[in-house]
Amino acid sequence: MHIPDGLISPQTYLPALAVAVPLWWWAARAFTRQVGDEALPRLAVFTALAFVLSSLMLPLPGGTSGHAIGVGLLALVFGPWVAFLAYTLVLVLQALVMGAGGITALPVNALAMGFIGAWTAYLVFHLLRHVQADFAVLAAVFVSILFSALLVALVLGLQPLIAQGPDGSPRFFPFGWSVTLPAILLPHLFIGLAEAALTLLIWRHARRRCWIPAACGREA
Amino acid sequence: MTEPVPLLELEQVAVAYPNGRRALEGIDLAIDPGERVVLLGTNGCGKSTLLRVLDGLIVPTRGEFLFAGRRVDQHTLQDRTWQRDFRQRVVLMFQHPESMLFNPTVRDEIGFGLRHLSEPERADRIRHWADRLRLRDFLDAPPFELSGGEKQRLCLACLLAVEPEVLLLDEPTANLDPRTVGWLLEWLRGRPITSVVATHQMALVPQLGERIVILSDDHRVVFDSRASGGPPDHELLVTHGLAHG
Amino acid sequence: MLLSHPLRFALYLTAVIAVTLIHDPRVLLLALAGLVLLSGSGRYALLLRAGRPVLWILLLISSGILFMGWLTGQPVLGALLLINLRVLVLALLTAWMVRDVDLDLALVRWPKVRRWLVIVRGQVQLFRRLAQDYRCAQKSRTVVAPTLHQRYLGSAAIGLAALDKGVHNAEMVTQAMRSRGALHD
Repeated sequence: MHIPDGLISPQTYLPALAVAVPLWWWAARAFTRQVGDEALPRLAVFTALAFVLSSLMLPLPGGTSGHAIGVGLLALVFGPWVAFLAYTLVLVLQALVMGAGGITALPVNALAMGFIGAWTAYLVFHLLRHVQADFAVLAAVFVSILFSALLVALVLGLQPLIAQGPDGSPRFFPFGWSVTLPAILLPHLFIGLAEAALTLLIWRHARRRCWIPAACGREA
Repeated sequence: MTEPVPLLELEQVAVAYPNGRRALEGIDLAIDPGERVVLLGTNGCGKSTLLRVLDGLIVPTRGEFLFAGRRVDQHTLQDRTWQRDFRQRVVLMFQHPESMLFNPTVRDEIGFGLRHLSEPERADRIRHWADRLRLRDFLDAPPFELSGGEKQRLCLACLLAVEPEVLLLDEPTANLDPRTVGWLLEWLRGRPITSVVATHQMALVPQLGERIVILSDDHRVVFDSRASGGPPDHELLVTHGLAHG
Repeated sequence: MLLSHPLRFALYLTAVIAVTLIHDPRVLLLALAGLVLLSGSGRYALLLRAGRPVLWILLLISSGILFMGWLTGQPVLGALLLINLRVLVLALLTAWMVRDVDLDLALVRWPKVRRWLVIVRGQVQLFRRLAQDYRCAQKSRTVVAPTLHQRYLGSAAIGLAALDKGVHNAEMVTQAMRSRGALHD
């Protein structure tokens, strides 16, 4: 779902940046309020952790595998603001240090996967955890991935509408919603299920360590 | 005549982590200036925790830690002037060197604690410690590119460059090659520095310090050679998992 | 003229935005040619490095454009060229930046960001090594091909180990920085 540079128009990424910047500021503020002067080292380690979690192999039938996103797990363990911040910084790392690019798409990626992904996972989990904790984890991660995928599909599908030449030809991503929605949502149904299953396996062990306040019955 | 004030003092110190796990129980320990203490104990007995209390990183759940007669608590730790002075005088080498390194180059890393010095003095000291610890060739390299042993030597260089009064070492020989171990032991012998070295390498104990303190599995001091007047006997070492029966 | 790294980085960011404002394939083609020429020795390796990550997505998009063109009978060459060239130019700009901009020097006026980057790089190495160790250990114990469930357990073990290490390392690095007086700078 990582969108490379050149497929998102300035009409999209500039407003996305305008939305993302205050959210980043708020997330940084919330995190600093929580940990004080320890923010820098903790965030650095969490960024590295998020980076590695986003490279976790998602086993798929047929001996193949995909890559996890990891935002859901981070949100459930450390909270949505940390997950959002850490994931954004992973995108920055990937773009500028690893050279994977995506600097113009960064605000869209950060909002779709980092912000929407993290908050969806967190809210769905808290809504459902009194029903059944395992189900809450599965639902949280699955819905989070689908929502993120939906946003990405909508943003990409919007490009031909808002960024076209005088002859109506697309200047950026060329396909509309009739293509992007099924093309992105369908595979993510499977990725969502796979990542939900993986997250549950990790969660079950992680809750025993009791650094997940929600699992220990304490508020985050 | 008044008795000299211990430089580091723990009075009935206990540490328990938020998850309820106990790390230290009822520790009484007074360390005078210039004393060289070896802290022995099996894994999980609380050696690292004790060193961190002495470095002002963990505030005891019960009891008191005093440095040069002053109580070290949350309030003291928030006093920036005091903190700065404390951090110049007391240094801790962590067991895993990666946790300690955060500057862009080896040069910056060694120079980090020397920012109060003039540029020529700082450069001199960096060169001196880089030479002593065979890091001259790496001065412009990023710390994360060094090997495990090189990182450990770099951590030593960073701490010794500050010229501290108290040196706390957590399993310093774990990642050091024999040559550097020999250098460290030689260096420790010649200094009027107060040191507390946590180890479970019995063979090096006589060279690491004159005073031996043993922590038990239930996180208490079970032996202090200062009180007993001599080294621990073999039976005691076997009882506490530090020697074979 | 040797540009400073902060300036190079600023130029890179400006160029990236500028490229998204250019809609003439001819200008982008000139830009691509210019970049290749100016990138100096190792330009072909650079081109390869830039092209590889975007190759599949460009092939996919291009096939889609050609297919739509065939279906609708509309001319698509302009759009095809524009999108491909823009993505390639941006990928090449990024590859060049990674090769020729020392981020550490570029961030010299932001010491806290530099510090953050150093710690991240070191920690990523540790986490990667951990994941590698786990994968190697799993592989070395595999006699019969693992089931899907076993593969999940394997990935989950890595995830859990990474989380454990993350919580532990966050504490260690914080304490180590505090111990060296870096947190009350």
